[in-house]
Amino acid sequence: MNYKSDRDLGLVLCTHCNSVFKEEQKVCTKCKSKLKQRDKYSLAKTLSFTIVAIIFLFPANILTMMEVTTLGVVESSTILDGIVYFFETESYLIALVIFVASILVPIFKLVILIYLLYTTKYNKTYLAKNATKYYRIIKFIGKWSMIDIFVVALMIVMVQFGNLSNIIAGPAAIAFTIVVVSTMLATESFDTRLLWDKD
Amino acid sequence: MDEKIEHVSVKKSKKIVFLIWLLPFIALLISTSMLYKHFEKQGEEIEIYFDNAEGFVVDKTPLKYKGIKIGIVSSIEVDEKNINRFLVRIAVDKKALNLVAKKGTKFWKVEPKATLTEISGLNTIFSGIYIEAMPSAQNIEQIKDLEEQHTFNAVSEKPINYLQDGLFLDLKSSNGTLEVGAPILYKSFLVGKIVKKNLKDNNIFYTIFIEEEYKDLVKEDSSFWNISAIDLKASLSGIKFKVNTLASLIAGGIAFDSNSLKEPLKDTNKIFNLYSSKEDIDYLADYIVLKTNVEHGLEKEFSKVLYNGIEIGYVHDLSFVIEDKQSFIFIKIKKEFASLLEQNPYFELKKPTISLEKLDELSNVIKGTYINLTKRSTKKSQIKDIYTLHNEPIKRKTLEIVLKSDDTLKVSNGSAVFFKDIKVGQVKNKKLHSKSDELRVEVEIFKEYSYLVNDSSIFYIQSPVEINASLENISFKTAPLSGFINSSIAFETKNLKAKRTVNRFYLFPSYEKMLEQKYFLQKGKRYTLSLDNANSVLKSNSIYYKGIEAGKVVSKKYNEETKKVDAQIFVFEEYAKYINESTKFYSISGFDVDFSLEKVNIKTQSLNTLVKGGISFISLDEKAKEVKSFHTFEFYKSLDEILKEERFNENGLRVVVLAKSKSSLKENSPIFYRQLQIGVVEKYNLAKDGTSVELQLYIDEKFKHLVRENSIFYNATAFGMEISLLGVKVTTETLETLLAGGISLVTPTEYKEKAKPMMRFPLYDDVEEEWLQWNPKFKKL
Repeated sequence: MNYKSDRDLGLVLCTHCNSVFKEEQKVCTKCKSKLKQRDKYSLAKTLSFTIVAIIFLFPANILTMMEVTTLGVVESSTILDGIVYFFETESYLIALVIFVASILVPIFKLVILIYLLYTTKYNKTYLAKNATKYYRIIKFIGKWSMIDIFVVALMIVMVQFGNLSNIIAGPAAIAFTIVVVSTMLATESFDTRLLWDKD
Repeated sequence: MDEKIEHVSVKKSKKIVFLIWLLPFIALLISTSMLYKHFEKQGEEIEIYFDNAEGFVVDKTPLKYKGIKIGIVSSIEVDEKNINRFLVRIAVDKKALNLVAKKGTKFWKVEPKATLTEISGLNTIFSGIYIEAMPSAQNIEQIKDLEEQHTFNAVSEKPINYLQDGLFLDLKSSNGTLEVGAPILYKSFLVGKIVKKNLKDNNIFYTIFIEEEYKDLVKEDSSFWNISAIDLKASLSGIKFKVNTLASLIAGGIAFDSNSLKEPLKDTNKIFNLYSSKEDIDYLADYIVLKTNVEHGLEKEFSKVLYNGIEIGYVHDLSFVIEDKQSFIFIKIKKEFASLLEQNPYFELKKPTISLEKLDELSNVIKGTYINLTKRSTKKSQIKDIYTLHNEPIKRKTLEIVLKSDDTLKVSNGSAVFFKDIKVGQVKNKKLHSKSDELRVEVEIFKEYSYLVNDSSIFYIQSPVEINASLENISFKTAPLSGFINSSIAFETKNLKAKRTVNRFYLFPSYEKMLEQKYFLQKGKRYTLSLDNANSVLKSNSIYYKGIEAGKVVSKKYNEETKKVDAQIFVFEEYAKYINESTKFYSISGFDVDFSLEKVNIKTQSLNTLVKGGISFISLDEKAKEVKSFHTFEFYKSLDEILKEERFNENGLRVVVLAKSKSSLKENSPIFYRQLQIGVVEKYNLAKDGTSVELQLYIDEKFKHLVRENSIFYNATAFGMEISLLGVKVTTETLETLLAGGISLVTPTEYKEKAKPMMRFPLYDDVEEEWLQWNPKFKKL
């Protein structure tokens, strides 16, 4: 594949307003943001956030997401418990949505991130086009993983009937939030321009 | 400079890289700590075998200790060896593991339970059942020392001593009507409950729990009884209705009472007896068996055993042997009367009968047939296994006496005879004397009281109520209640030491008559008073001597011969000695008004005699001859009459004056000489020819020499009024005579011979002035 990158052309792109300037330009004339041809910590940052996300993926799935107290009986459930519950009660759609949003998506995102890191690190430029496509996907779906947290937060707020019925967030909720946020940060800190660099 | 910048930039980049790589480490740290916390909680599994795993849900049914979740059921499976058993595995929180995974820990299922006495586990209706754990020891140190154990058998129900300090006691009972959870009451205050009930050796054993703070109320001698829900007692005397606590109304309960002075119970293993009712405590535990072959009509539980009219027991059970027609009666006797059994008891069957005569046994009619117990001796005797129930009353040794009476009596056969309100005998028979109309009452006096009867005994009829009202007091006398409907006989014995020589006594028809008799039985004498008319003297009027009661009027009777009323009087001996021939009896009834111009003197005796009247006597001459009993005395209307009579003795002079009219003169009108009374008008009557009024005058002995043949009597009432030129001259005797009337005597200075008795003189109406000038000097007598 033959192409010329901005570095080859001695140009720099403003990542905010998509204006193109000469290499020497440090600040965007339009939006006053800092201009960088490449983010040299991008890989490290992405890798670091990915590792954080992977670490927290375990407590997020093992620990309890939600503790439902009904008449003094505490019933704690993990993400998987929730999916099993909905699946058993034949609410397949909800089960599917939760499964996809809470388990599939974070794992998918992490897999993609690792893939991106791999292609960048070992300059597999032939995969760059493909990788960019995946990057766009994870960037798009990244925020949807928060749906689980929103559901829990909403439940906590809505079901507050004292001793009768009460819901509190479990430690998994925090872990899960960290997973989602770190994958998003990992995605954000990844400089896609690196994919296209041949050296 | 570039180098410098380069250097700074490198330094900066190193710092950023470090920070970037620090992040995963922090994340790792947090994550592991979270997971560690979680897994630490997870703990270990223990195995519990349940006979019934109904309601257990894997991963849901919790294990709790005092309401706190310490674990969760992780699996349930049927036991491999016994299909009626379930193996429940429970994941116990690691921290709680040391508490429950120890030897002796009890596990049981808590599920909603509603019984008459309690509703528990209500929360499990919504939350589902759970498993409760209780370690065998109460404090941490003890628990720590226990062996570890991971496999348990669940107990079927909550252990009785669950989490509670208090006293656990076993009670033995013959029936099992009480339910677990029924209350234990002390003075109607809830202090505990029945926690367990089981059947052992044909007895029901209840385990009761008494709360820690009340356990001192149980003493060594405490007695426990079953409180029936409703305690209804109805008898003639009223209805008693008692309900204990509402809970005991349905499920019953146990009450207990103790001697508060005793020490609290020490031996908690002591088994107490549970009585079936509070009354049962008072009864001897053993039955007394009575044997009879008569038709007894006794009722189980209702028929009573009486001793002297006091309920001392009841018929507990009855049985009948067909072969020899023997009835066996099982009776229960109160503990306090147990000693009666040692005194040769005699059991008698008493059947009530209704008759108009025997209305006084009305209460027995309602009581129904009962057994009467009497002790035959005070000596100790062996307690027998079986006693005979007699049909006829015990033959008592009695003293038989006969009472005579003139009146019809309201006593009947069986009527009681009382001595100081104690029944000492009864009427055996009542019949008419074979020859006269005299009523004879045969009475038997119980042997032990026979000493009360002797010659000084007085028998009388005791009627239900006697009211004795007098001015002095009002007294009610009532016979004992049993004699209320029917009359009874009572007697009094004045002197217990007197001998008994007769067995016939007079029966007085009333208490009052008896009292009267008793009065006249005192030492004294009887006399007769001759009255013109009996109005002023009443029977039972008292006789007074100087104001002190000295006797009574016994009776009055009309005397054909003298045409007068003879009143018999009774005078105590101590006063009888003042009675002699000179004694005069006079009425002190009413009041005596002494009316003069000087003063008005109203004289009454006591208020009592004012209304009732009375008799008093006076002895004029202490040395006069004594009189015998039943001597007849004249009766005077008043003391004055006596005094007057005293004055009018034979020694005085009696003359007659003839007046044209009686004018204001009357008996007792005074005769004056120089305005000094010398005599009285004794009586007056019309002259036979009707021309004048003859006034008989009595002149006292001392003054009779003043009356001479030529003496002149004039009416002192009259007063002269002379009207002359000089004025008006009024002549009169004293003012007193002006009002009361009177006669004045004048004798001329030249007096003649003494007047002869019954000499006649004219009575002048007017006084002549010349008469007043007369001034005779009498020679000494």
